This record gives sequence, C-alpha cells and structure tokens, in this order.
Amino acid sequence: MRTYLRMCKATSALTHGILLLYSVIVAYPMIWLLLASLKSSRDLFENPWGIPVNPQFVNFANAWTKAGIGRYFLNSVFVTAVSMFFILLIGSMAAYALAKLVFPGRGLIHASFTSGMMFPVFLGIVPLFLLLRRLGMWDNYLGLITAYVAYSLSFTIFVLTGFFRQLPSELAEAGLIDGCSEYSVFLRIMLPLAKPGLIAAGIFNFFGIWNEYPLALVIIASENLRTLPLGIANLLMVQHYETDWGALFAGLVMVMLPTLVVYLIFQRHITEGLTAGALKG
Amino acid sequence: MAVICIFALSGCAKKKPSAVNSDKIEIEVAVFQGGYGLDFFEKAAREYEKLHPNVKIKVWGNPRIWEQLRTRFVAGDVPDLCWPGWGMDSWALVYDGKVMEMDKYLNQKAYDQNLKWKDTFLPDLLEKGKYRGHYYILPFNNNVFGWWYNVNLFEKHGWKPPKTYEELLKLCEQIKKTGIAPITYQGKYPAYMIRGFLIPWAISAGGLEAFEAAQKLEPGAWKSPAFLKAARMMAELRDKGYFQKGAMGMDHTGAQMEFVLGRAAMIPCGTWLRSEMQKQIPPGFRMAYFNPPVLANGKGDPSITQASAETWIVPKEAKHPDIGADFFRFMTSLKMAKRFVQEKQTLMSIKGSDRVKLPPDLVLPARYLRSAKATWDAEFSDWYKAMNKEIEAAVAALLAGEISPEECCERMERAAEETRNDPSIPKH
Amino acid sequence: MTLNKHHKLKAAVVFLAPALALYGMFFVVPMLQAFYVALFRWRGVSIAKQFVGIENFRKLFTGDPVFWQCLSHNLMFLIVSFLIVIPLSLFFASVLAGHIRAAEVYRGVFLFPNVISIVAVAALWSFVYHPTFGILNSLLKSIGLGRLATGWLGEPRYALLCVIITSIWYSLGFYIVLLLAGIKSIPTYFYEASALDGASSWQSFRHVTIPLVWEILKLAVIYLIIHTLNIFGLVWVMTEGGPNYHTETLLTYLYRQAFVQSNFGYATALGVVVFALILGVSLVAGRLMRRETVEL
Repeated sequence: MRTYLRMCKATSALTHGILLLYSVIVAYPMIWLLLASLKSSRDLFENPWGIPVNPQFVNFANAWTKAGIGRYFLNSVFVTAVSMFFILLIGSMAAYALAKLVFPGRGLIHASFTSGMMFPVFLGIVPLFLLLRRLGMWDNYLGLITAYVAYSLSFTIFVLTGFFRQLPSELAEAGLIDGCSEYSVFLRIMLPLAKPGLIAAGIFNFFGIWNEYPLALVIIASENLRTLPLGIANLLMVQHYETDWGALFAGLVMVMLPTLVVYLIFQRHITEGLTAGALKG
Repeated sequence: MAVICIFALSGCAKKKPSAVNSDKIEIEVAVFQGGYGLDFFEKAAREYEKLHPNVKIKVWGNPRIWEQLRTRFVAGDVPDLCWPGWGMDSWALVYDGKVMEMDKYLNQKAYDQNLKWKDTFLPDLLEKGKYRGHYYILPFNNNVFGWWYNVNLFEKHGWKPPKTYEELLKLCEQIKKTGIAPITYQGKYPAYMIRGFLIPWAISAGGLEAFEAAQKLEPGAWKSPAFLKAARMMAELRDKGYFQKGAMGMDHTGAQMEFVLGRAAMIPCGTWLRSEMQKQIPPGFRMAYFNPPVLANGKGDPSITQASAETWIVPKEAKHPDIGADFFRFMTSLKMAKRFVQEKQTLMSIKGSDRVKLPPDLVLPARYLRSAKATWDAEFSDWYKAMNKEIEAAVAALLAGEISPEECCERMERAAEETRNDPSIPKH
Repeated sequence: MTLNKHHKLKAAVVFLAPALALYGMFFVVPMLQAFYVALFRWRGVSIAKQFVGIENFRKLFTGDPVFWQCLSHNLMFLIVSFLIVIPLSLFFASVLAGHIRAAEVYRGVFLFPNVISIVAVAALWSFVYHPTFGILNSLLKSIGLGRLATGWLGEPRYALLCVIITSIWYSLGFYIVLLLAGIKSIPTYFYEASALDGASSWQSFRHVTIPLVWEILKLAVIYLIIHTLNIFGLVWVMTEGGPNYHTETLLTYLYRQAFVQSNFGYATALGVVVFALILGVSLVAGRLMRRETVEL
C-alpha cells in the first residue's frame, strides 16, 4: 500500500501534467462548441477560435423551435429510463440463470445471446418494421422500447453473466439452505452483489439508447413521439439547406447540457457502485 | 361566430363518422422539407379544399422524408402524392411498379390554361420522367446549374466573367495574384464537380452527343476524346493552383461560405445558392450567374445550359391517386407556378412561369435557360447509382491529384461497362 | 437431488423466458429473415425480390474491389484504435484508481465526449480539420510548421487517420471508465501483499492489476472490435466515405448499397459478412486472451 502510494507521489507531477493535458484535449472542443453556439455563422467562419463578437442568443430560440428540443428531451428520458429498467431486469434474470443455474442447453443459449452483439443494427431493420406494423406496435413507444430491449439484451447478458460468474456460489447455496427460493436468492442476495455489473451494463445501455438513431427513425413517425437523436438529425439536415451553424450548435449544446447534468448525477452512482464493488472483496 | 360554427360542425362530424366518410375524402401529401419549407404546399392545400369541399388534404414533411417513405413503400402504405426528395431512389420505385403511370392525367386539360396539362411543362424537363414510353416522375420547380461569381470583387478589380476557357485561365492567373482563390468547390460532394466542370467541358469539346453517348453507356463514350479533354482541363486548373486549397475537404455549405465571404471568387452551384446561404450573405454582397466557360473552338453550342427538376410522384398504391394527381395539377397551374417562383425564389418547370418580376439572382439563369439551344441534366446519376458513385470517386481522385486524366477516364469507362453488362440494371 | 435439479430447471425457465421471448421474436427472427434476404436481388423499396442464391456473396468476394478497400480501412481502424486505446486507457485507469487528487473530476471530464451526440462530435472535428480556419492548421502555423497545413479530410493520405483519431477521442473515456471499474474492484490487500514482497509499481501493475482486470480487459477488446468494425455515424457525417473511398468502411458501404443504390439484397449479404467477421475476430481475440479467471 505504501509503495503504491509512493509510486503515485513520485510520478505525481508527471501524471498530473498528462491528466491535465488530456483534460484540455477533451474539454477544449466542448468549450469551443459552447462559444460557437453563440456566434452567427459569419462570425464563426471569420473568427472561429475567438470569443463571440456579438453573442447570438437567438440561436437557441431558433434551435428550440426547429429541433423541438424540449419535447424530444422528455421523450428521450422516458424511453431511455423505461428501456433501461426492463433491459437490466430481464437481462440480469437471464444472466443469473446462465451463470449460476445448471440446465441442459445452457451453453447454446448463452452463445446465441452473445453472438447477437455482432450483428450490424441495420441488418434486421426492415423485417422488424414489418413485424411491428403487423403487431400494431409501430409508431408507439411499446414498439420502440420492445425493440430497444430486444436489441440490448445480447450485450447486457454478456456483461452480466461475467459478473454473476465471479460471485461465490456458496452465498446462493447458503441462502437456499436457509429456505429462500431461487427467486429470493436472486433478488435479495445475488442482485445486490452484482451492482457494479449492473452499473457497467447500465452505462453501456444508457449511451447506446440515448443516442440511438436508426431504430427510432424507422419505428417512430409521429412528430410528438420523436426522440432527441431524430431532432438532432433534423437540425443537421436543416443546416444543410439553410446554412445556420449557430442554430445547429445551439441545438447540440441544448442536447448536451441536460445530458451532462444527468450524467453528473449518474456519475455519483457509478462511484458508489464502484466502491461497493471494491469493498466486497 | 364562424369558429363556433366550425366547432359545432366538427362536433356533429364526430358523432356521425359514416357521414364523414361519404363526403370528406382525406388525402395525404408527403413533402420533402428542404429550403422551401411546407407553407406553400399547406396554403395550396387550403385553396384546393375551397375548390373541392369534399376533400381534406393533410400535408406533412421533414428534411429526411425519404427515410420514412422507403419503409412505407415496402409496406404498401403510401401517401397519395409525394415529393420524396433527393435521398429517394425514385427510379427504383418505378422499376418495382410502385409509381402511378401519369399519361392519362397528363392528357387532361390544364387547370388554368386552354392546353393539355402535359403541354404546360418545359418539354425537356417533363421527358426526363419518362420510362419505356410512359410518364412516371413529374417535374416541379427546377434548377439551373452553372457558375457564380462575386460581383463586387470582379468590379473592384475590373474583371469580367469569362466566356471561354482560355479567358478563364488568364483571369485565374490574375485572381491568384491577389491572394484570393480563383475557384472553390464542394469537394465532399463530387456531384458539384461533375456538373460544374466535367460534363460542361465534355459537351463543349465533343458536343451534346458526346455526353448523350456517355449517358446511353455507348462503349468508349466515357473515355472519348471529349471526356479526356474535360478531365485534362480539370487537371490543368488543379496543377496551376486555381482551385482553392483544401476545397476537397469542404462540404457544400463550407465551400459556399468561402465564396460569400470573398475568399474564393467563383463557385459552381445551382440556382438554390441564394436560399441556401440566405442567412450568411454579408450585407452588400452581390453575386451573379454565368454558364461554365467553354472552349473557344469547342464543338458544343455555348448556349447549352444545365437544368434539372425537383420531382414528384403519385404512388401506385395510393388510396386516392386521382385526387393526389389532381392536387398536383392544381399546384402546377400557371397561377400557382408563378406564385411559387415569386415566393420561393426558384424557377419552375411550367412554361411562362418566369414571366413575373424575378428575384435578381434568377434573372440571368432564366435568360440562359430561355435562350439555350438545348438543355441537359446528369440523369445517369439517378439511373445508374453504382456507376455514378464510381464516377464521383474518379473525379474526386482526379482533383485530389491521385490519378491522371487518362486514368480517370479509364475508370469512368470501366464503371459504365460494368453497368452496361449487368442485365439486372434497367436501362434508359 | 432430482428434486433440486427439477427445481433449478423450473427456475431457469422462469428466469430466461422473458429474455428469450423478446430476443427471439424481435431480434433473432428479423435477423434471420435478413440472412434470407441476402440470397435475393432486392431493391428494398417494395416486396418484389428475385432469388439469386449465393450470387451476392460471389460478387462481394470476387467482383468488388471496394469491399476489400473497406475491409482494409476497418482493420486499420481496429489496429490503430487497439494500439492507442488499450494502453492509454489502462494507463489513465490505473492512475485514476490511485490516490490522486481530483480523480473524480478527471474521470468526469474524460467521459464528456460520450455524452455529446456523434453528430456534434463529427461537426466539431470537421471544424478542427477545416482547411481554411481549422484549429489544426492554425496550430501548425503558430509553431512554424505552416507548410504542413492541408485540407485534412479531403486529403487521400490523411483522411482515414483523421477520422480514426476523432473516433479515439470520442471513445477513450468509455474504456477508461470501464477499466477503472475493474481496477477499483481489486482489493487493496493484493497491492499491500505485493508491496511486502518488494514489488515495484510496474511489477504490481504487471502482476496484480493486469491479471485481475483481465476479464474486463477482454471485454474492452471485444467491445473495441465490435465498435471499430461497426463504425458508421462518425464517418458518414465527416466524410461520407470520401474522398475516392479513402474513408469508406464496411457499414458506410453497406448503407450506401442499401439506401443510396437500392441494392438491399447485396447490402444484406455484406451485413452477413460483417457479422461473420466480427464473430470471427472476437473469437480469435477471446482465444488469444484466454486465461484462468482469477476468483476474488
């Protein structure tokens, strides 16, 4: 422990230097984006790296009306939250069974889930569209969320199976001996222990679904059901015809800021989860 | 009071849905929402509804409408009329029998002229939508594509827009000396370079027939002396440094920004240039259109002008194709066409629709179009998408200095040959 | 014993049923239908299609030089990303796992790019590489290397590398946080024990950190494979595969074939090949990285 600490101290200056440098590389373009969102396009092209000459708050108004950010943001929050709940619930149940229960066909099922990660998303889009239409699940959230859950299960199960496998089986057996059912062992013992895994899978899925475009495009048609990526894509296209970089960047900032807030709140949970994971050893 | 009546009426209507079905037909019009917005079409719909009280028209659209229309075409659940936009492969729809044959509608009388509907269109533009003897794809507004120059800059230095390629070379040398880039282009989208440099010069060197042969995939046409000459002209401008440095890395708005900010003197573009850059054009900026400079001793007629149209279709599986087609007939009436020209600052493919007070940027293109002995359009880019992509890549490679004009032509010819020999690609 | 087994089977069915039902119906079935489509010539605008057997695959492998170009670009993507992302993210993760000041702040900052949409990232970096006023060219000029300034994304030589660097910038934070979770979960007494043995910091990194995060590292590598072989949005917005195919990747080509050129059958065949490729490369990587899992 002491050597470990000393190592940190000895190289502290250098590491801090590198960390700072990389922070700048990451943060600078985002600050640039913020500044650019306050410029007129002409200002942007004539003075791309400076402070806005004459801040154009109207960009934000334009983006708000064109991209429908407010509504789409709430839609995205709803879709992402509900999808993640079901993905993590259904995924962790399946992963637990695949990691800890013995039954015939386990290897095959596991392989079929994990190989699903390798499919390019576009591949099944048209058949999926036709299926959802037949089931009356097209152009509503039932269809979109179902698709998100189905598409995310592969990766979620892949990640969570790894985590459940690492948990000691003795705990589950002890629970069973104490008279718990398999279900309460899962809910009360195993699931809390797998929290770091759930968080890891949660991060994957959050970013995946929050930014998902092709499925939302095909499944959602109504204006009032659209999610944020559809709004951004529209902004980008409008920019192609009307050349209004300011509105585009303002829109992107409006999408980014709340996401950042969500992320910063979320980040605390990541930390807690990580600490829990670290303590359990 | 009127509002209350309408509410009362709609209240009744809700109670008796059967009554609604019998006297109100609802049709759906899907519109590509590019630079022109939806308002014109919505206003047109309201006017049409006044003329036809039994019809209700729902107009909707967005900037990527083809992405939604494609899946709906597969499912067979389609609007009654649509402008699918540039992202839709409309010819694929025609080949698969998804588009209504328009002949019978075109033989009807025009809405407000004593002519057959089909005779109100500019013939070249209407003919583009023909396949195996029938009309499928109809033109609406059209674009003239050529070169634009910065008028203030030219006046300040006493330059004149070049009529010939030889004049262009001299002018570029002068412009270059001032530190301004003579020509910029939208490098990310090579279609601009094909329409702005390659084909106009091939037509100038070998006549319109050299280009027609290439479009018809005649063996050797894409590496004919005419195309080789055109490729060499592009290579010459490239080698002399007359193109803006880095233009290959710019998208259309980026390159057009360089032009309106005065960092480049000339740019190839269509008549939509003003509407695309409206918000960014500095006060006092003036630009003007001219046809691409041609060879002084060229074979092609110098008046030949490039014109293409935005196209509309009536889907075959539409529930009310007759009304969809009729609404389009209404929108292409002379009155509506003139109104579109004035409101949206674009030309229309309806004869005489330019007899209005044109916005300044359109005066010259309209004049070129009227006095053109012939017009052309890069139709192959819609017919043969795979070949078009190869030609785009070859032109990009040529301008990036990766290949020689000879190699460029060889590559274009190979692409044409592949398309020619592929029986699965329907030919025009 | 038999009772117990039966019990487990019943529990397994209950636990797996929802996942299998949803996954089977809304993922596997459409994908299998897509596989079937690969055997057809289909424009993808109607239900009309013509059976052509393995013709699409034959053409892909024997008559399509662009496919091989795309493949080489994706492999380039994979190799460059692997060589930069894995060492860098391991480095940053192990530094941030230590008792370093403001580690939380750094971690938060590093994950920023993942929070913004790919469209924003692409637009942003197009401005970095912009030929006339991009930050890269300004930077080069300010340090006296103005002659290196060029139109990056339009330059056949640099375009692919420029896109790869953007992709790394975008995704690095994700790998850092992933590995950080792994390293944080290593109990400190492992480090104490190795310190008592007189191990240097490099040795404890080598013999404690690496083996104990191996499973997560494997996960990171597999994710990297999937990500780089499926790369699409960033390339499409930044270059659309140009100039002259120099940044065309398997999925931009697939998209072009399906949605621009209306060769849905062909594009689907390409999708099947991409699937097989990702599966193959992942299996090889998994095999190469096989190790005894260290139980905590």
